[in-house]
Formats: sequence, structure tokens, C-alpha cells
Amino acid sequence: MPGRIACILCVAAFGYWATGLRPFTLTCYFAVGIPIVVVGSVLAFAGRTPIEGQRQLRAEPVRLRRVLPWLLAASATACLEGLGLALGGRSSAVPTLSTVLDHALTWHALRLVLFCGWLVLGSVPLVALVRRHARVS
Amino acid sequence: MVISVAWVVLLAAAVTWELYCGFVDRRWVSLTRIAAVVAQKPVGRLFLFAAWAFVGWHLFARYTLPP
Repeated sequence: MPGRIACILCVAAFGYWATGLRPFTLTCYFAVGIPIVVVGSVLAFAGRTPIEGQRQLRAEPVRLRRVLPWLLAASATACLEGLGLALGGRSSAVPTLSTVLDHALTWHALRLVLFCGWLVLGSVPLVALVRRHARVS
Repeated sequence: MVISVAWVVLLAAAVTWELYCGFVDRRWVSLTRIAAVVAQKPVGRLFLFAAWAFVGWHLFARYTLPP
């Protein structure tokens, strides 16, 4: 448990530092690049990463009807993004997702939350690898 | 302004639906489950990694602060 708390604090501290850097700078590229390199290395060298509940997934194939809400959301996203891009991409009346996110990212707290969420998503194969090693040993 | 609100509503709806699928009614497919199915094959894992890396790079290293 103390290890987990230390891990969370380290991720939060790294996230606070990384999201406080100016974009388009070498330090910023370095800060965002480290997790990408780590996760990429894990995926490249760890071989077949086990996925939680994989047997269950094989038993229950994904049916199209059950994915329909996501397809509708993807269609709505594509329509809004296409419309925004058709109007130049920087229109304040019809902004693209990037423009909306750029405005949202002016808040450091939101940047920090999104960055930590991004790190958590990326850590899934890393956590799976650690669990597999723990199970083997 | 209307489209900005539409984006926020769409994102909020996606997050809510993901939580609903994951914790309330598991008969519906969550994004997590779709990702797990995609990640069963090496090509799928490569695609997920590329998408994750692109989103992070685009959002946190190359975002433009509005004037």
C-alpha cells in the first residue's frame, strides 16, 4: 500500500512538472516522450501482454448492436470535426475538437488531470507485465 | 458557442456511457472492452499504442494556447 501511494504521488508530481512546461519546447517533448518510450519499450520487448479477462472476451464476442452507441458517437464526432475543418479549422462559431481542447488546456489543473489520465491509460500494459511477473515468481 | 457546447455534451455523454457500460449494465460494450478485444492481436496493440502516443503528443507537447 505505501508503494502504491508513493507511485501515485510520483506520477502526480511528474504530471504537475510536465504540464507546467511550455509547449513546443525540447523539455516538453522530453517530458511527454519519456512515457511514450517506456510504454513502447514494454510493448516491444515484453512479447504478448496478457489482458485481464481475456478468456471471457473470447467467450463473449462483441456484437454490432451493443457497439451502436459508440458508432453513433464516432459519427457525430466525425461530422462536427469535418464541419469545423471545412470552415478553416479555427472558426470560433464551429470549432474543431482540437480548438475546444486548446481552450480547455489553458487551465493547468485540467491539463494535469488529463495528463495523469493519459499516463494511467498507457500504464495498462506495464501493470499487466508486473502482475504476470508477480504470478510467475 | 453552440458547437462548443455540443463537443462538451458529446464528451460528457461518452464518459457517462463508458462508466454505465463498465459498472451498471455490462451487456453493453464499453470502450475498455473494445480496446481489450483490439489488443488481443499484435497489430491491434500497435494501433492502440500509436493512438495513445498521438493523443498524448498532440495534447500535451503541441497544444496551442489561445491568445
